Amino acid sequence: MIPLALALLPSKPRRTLAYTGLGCRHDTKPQAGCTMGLFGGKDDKKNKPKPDFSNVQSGSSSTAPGPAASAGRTYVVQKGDSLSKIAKREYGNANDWPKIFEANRDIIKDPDLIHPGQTLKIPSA
Amino acid sequence: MPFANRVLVPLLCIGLAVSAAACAKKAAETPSTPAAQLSVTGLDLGRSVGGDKRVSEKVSDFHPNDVIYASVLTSGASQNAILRARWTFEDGQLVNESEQTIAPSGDAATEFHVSKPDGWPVGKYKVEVFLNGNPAQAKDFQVK
Repeated sequence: MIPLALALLPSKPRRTLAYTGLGCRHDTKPQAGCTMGLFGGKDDKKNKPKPDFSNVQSGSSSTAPGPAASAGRTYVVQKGDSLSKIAKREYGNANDWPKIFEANRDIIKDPDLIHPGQTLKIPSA
Repeated sequence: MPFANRVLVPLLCIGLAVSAAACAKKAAETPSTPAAQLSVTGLDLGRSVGGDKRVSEKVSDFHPNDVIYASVLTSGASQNAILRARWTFEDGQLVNESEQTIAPSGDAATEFHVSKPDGWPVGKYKVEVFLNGNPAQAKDFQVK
């Protein structure tokens, strides 16, 4: 008689030799188009299909500026430009013009007056 | 004054003066506070980040439909550094890998996020963060 404690222990998955393949009966009798293989135990786990992560979407952002932004860009003023127009083009928001004005205080005295040919520093957004 | 004193004393003084000047120059050339080298100081996981790129609530267990955020905290300065996040599943199967180039001048936070439209398979995952190609921090998490 098996002791109770031993009977309650989980049994180790057994590996059995049998016929495998799509449409094959899982037994030891010969079947056309089927090959012998091992069932059970570790082999089933190994054959588990891997999940597909090809559709994973990712992104990233940082509080730190990127190298290009920190190095500083420049823009040469064209005829008809204003700080608002440049801010709209560079940052997507015309109201950000003070950033450009502050970065170019040394060459811009009046924010309403910039001249074609002036090279302005464009700070990071 | 003996001849030896008349010659040696001025020579000694000149030598001392030159040494003192050399020391003073060396001190001036040595920066008093060198810029701290960039390092990764923390890695937190969560379901969302704020404007400061830090996770609002740190978690290590996620649901299949969660967007998973990893917030990488750095300290120090660099003109060009590459942070890379590598996400793997269970036995090392690659889930995703992405990079962010940064040029911080002090403490900064960088977030990486991943999502899967048809839901994450349940299991154990790991995210590893590399700074300029060198392993910096790693964290395990689960999807239940």
